[in-house]
Amino acid sequence: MDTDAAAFAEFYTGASDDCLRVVLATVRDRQTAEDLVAEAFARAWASWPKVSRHPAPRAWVVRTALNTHRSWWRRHRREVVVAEVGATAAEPAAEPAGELMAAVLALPLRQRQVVACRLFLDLDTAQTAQTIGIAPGTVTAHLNRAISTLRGDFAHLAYKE
Amino acid sequence: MDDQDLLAAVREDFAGVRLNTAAETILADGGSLRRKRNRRRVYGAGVTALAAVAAISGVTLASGTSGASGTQDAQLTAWTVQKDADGTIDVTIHDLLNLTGLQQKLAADGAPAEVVSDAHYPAACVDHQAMTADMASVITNGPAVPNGYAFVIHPAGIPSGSKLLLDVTHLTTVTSSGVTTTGGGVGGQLWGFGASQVGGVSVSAGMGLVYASSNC
Repeated sequence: MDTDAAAFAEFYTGASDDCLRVVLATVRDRQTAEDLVAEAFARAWASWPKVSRHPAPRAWVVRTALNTHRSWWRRHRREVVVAEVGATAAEPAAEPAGELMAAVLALPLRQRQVVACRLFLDLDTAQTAQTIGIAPGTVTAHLNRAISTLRGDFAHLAYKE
Repeated sequence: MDDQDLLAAVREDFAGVRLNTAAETILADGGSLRRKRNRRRVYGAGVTALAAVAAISGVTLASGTSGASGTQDAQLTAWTVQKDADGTIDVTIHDLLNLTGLQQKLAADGAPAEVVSDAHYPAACVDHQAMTADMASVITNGPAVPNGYAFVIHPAGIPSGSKLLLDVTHLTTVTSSGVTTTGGGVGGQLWGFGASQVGGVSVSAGMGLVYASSNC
């Protein structure tokens, strides 16, 4: 394995689980998330001279995975023919999870993305906004709402215990 | 318990989520992708060289054209755009070359569009609210074509203040046929439309509607 490949393998080993967690928080389907992240890392290796110099290569991978997910063909399982235009695609089934993980996956999309970026990628507000494609000014609001909801869920769980 | 404790507990709950794909597999897939990309660059350079030769010899070879093939002896075309008398636009895509030219041609023919490849959406593009309801009046299937994808744009159906977002890509496997609707989208909302054809098609496209702005 040459030097570049070794450096990429080290990056992959250290970052792949956290990238998967962020993408899972977005798509809420484990298999889809694994496919997306694996493909995003393959693209990262294909563009390694650029990605290795990126200020936040983990964010690059997540951004690539989320961009790919937005592409229609990634959801071919839920496609409907043209005669059914107007029908709404079904939400993916929620990932079986622990109770706090389930609480995160139950948050609105932007809230769970912001929480995941902060938790698993340690991104600041500007990087989070860039990674998930929202205005920087809304990141803090999403994070505060998410934490407030999770705090309520956590208190409920603690009470049950 | 403070916020840090709460977030630590959440993180712990995700600890079992791990990617099990071996690094060697990723390296092999990425290497394959890189070789494919390099071949595409060589092909693009070949098209440019052939076009230069053609310009001298009088034969039309292009990475994109605005009409039918005509009577030229040979034609090497990444895409074709032809505006019909009723205002509709027939588009066929064979390869991901000169997409800027494709975007300019569509705009000139009355279909404002943002053309991207491989899901590289501009961050400034935002899904149009009418996308899911109105896409059927914007895009319809074209004829089946070998090694490419054909569709018809109906410019009259594009809502005022919006533009098409056209995302083209190479595919190795296509499992569905016809114009389809699906989830996704630039803003994480419904994407609205996709299109594909079964069997041996190397190029396909996804479409949506986004708000037209100075950055999109």
